[in-house]
Amino acid sequence: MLSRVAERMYWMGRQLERTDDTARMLNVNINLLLDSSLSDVEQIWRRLIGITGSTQEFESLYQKHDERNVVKFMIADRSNGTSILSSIRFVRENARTTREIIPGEVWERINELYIYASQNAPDSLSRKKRIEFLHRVMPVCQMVSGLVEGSMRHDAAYYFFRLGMMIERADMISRIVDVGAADLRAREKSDDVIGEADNNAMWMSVLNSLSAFQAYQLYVQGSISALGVTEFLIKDPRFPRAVSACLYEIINCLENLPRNEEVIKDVLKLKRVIDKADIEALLTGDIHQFIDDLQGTLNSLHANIAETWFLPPAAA
Amino acid sequence: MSVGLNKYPIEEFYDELITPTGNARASARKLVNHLKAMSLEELQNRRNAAENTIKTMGISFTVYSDGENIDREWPYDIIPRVIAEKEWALTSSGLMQRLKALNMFINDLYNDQKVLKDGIVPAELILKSKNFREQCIGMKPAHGVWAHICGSDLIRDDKGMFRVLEDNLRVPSGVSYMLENRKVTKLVLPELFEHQDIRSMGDYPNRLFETLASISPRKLKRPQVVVLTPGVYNSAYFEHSFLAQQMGCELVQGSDLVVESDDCVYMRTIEGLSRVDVIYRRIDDLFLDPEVFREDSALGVPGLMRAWKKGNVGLANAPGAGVADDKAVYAYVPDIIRYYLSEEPLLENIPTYLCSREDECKYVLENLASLVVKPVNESGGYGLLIGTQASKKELKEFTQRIKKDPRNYIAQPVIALSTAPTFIGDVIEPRHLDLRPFILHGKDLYVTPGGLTRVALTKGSYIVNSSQGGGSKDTWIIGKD
Repeated sequence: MLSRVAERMYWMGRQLERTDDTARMLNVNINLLLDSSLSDVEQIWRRLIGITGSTQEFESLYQKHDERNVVKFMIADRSNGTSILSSIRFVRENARTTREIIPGEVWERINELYIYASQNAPDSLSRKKRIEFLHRVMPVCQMVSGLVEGSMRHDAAYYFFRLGMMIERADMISRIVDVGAADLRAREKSDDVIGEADNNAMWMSVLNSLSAFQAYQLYVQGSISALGVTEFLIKDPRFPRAVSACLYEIINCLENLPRNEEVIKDVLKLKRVIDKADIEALLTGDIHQFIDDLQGTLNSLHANIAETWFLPPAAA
Repeated sequence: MSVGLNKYPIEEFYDELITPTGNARASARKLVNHLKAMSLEELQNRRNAAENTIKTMGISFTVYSDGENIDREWPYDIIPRVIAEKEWALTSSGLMQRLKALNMFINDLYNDQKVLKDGIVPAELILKSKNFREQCIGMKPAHGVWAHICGSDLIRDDKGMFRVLEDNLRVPSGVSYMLENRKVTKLVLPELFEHQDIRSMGDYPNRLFETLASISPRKLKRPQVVVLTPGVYNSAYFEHSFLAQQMGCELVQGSDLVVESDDCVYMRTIEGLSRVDVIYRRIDDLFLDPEVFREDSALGVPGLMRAWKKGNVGLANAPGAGVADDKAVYAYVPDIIRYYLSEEPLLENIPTYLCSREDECKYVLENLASLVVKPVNESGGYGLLIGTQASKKELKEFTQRIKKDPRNYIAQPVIALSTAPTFIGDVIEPRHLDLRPFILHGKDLYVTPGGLTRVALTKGSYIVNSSQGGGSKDTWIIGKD
């Protein structure tokens, strides 16, 4: 398989996952908004922008962290490279340039999604339209990854696609947990008495952002707490939207690729760090640093993947 | 209510489906009856379905406009064009005969040049042509074939006779649209396929692969064949990707390939470098290899010509093949057929005046208003003059251009292109069309049953190019049922 095509497949996976994750997060926070007191609202929007790591970019384009601006920025803003519309455009561009190897149906669903999104994203600023929009986008993302899973030969191209998805997903989970933890610390430091209900709602939204609420309830069977949720989302080996499960899948992908020794070593190292992490101690200590390191490792994993498979080898 | 095939105007042109007395031609009878029985609404529904399918399937072509590349949906008319198989058989043989002779001609030009020594074709015409590549002299590609994929443009004159308008021996495009048109028609008019023997063209990608594999320098069970594209911004990128996919080949760009010190071509893969046997290149000669042709080409592969000349890689079409689709050479094709095959041409040319000949040039200048003038080396319908439709200013301009560079122009009488019923707005009207069949030549010869029918959507227009507002139709070769 061509290195250039491998790279395209990898990015198609990443950007499809990003589309899905961003849509989920927005959807959850719009719900949360309906339950929140007015004073929390700006906080919620600020948090969302923080998770996507685009605070600077947002602030260069908009004045206020209000609903209209944030939703516009995250759904329809073409100048925001991580908006849903931009992500879908990238997915399509990558699909368009790998059409010779992806199943026709996959391309058709992606193309349809792009046509739909470019026509409807600009109108998605009203609450009703926006919910409709997100509910249309999320299932198509699932459908596309399902079609890839079920109708594409599981060869290198497939594993690069999955690899991209899993790295993006692990990254996104870590961001969501980080922001949740930061929020917790902020509340602890302030003089406000933290209402149990408030706290619960926040961690519930963290779970919901990753569609993890039901799985958490079934598996943990306890109250929703900072420790329970953080531990579940980082260490659970079987929930597909937990960092640990993503790492298992990443290793599985890598094992199916040639010349994989160095990269697998990296991931195993990361896996050991995650397994050994004492979440309880971290929550009272420096969880932010821990997550920062995790994201740093994911970045260097990406660089290592690019160097191993994507960059043209030096001419002999 | 019928959509007006009953009121279909009879004009002086040959019509593909309707006879001068207003009846359906024998091979089109089922189609015409079916159309007559359809309501306007029904027909519009089918057209909408076709448009949606084309959009969803992403059947598109890229046009450069207002400083950016726009992906346009492929224009398609739902009424197919029908040709009787018996008639097609002769055309098909004629196309094979023509390509066979043209390949012998090209091979001769780059080797012994007997055809020039024997005075069949003026040496000056060839040796001064900007499409004659000195770098190819002495090269003997596999089977003596240079143009492996040819797209010839045919038109039907007012008597209904197919004539060759031009041969495209460089990188002819359109075959993917021919195949996709058929897919769309099957989806929107499935009932018509039930009781008719419509020749399938779905075999083309296989045949193309076999043709390409037959020029592999290494005799492998499955040689490594790749499609070389200039990239996603090329107007035919859709087709490059489509053909690679259909053949199960890698679609590569110049940067994916490298020529190593052993003068073999390799592609960069996730496993390292991997040897390439045959390149179906969809980039022009001049961009192929910056070491030999244009130095500033970023699309090509340095050293590619070296690898090809050493016989380490097959190139289709071979560099230099374009010397024979020059519009001035076109006039000599009937003689070329006679010379190499000792056969009479089965397909007629269109009478052609070469402005490089003094007497013919004089005739052209005197009769400009009734002729079509074409630059020798343009494609896509650019830079031509249709005398009957030109303004005085345009005629004057062209007179100047021809006088300045007569070698660069040919002229032909305006041939009344045939028409076919076409669904425009909410009526069915006659529109002019041509036909581009595709001919493959490797170890064997093959002609697509039918080809890509291109139709001028503007009333009275002869310009069928999709870049200039042309549309397309599915083309049926129908056997006796």
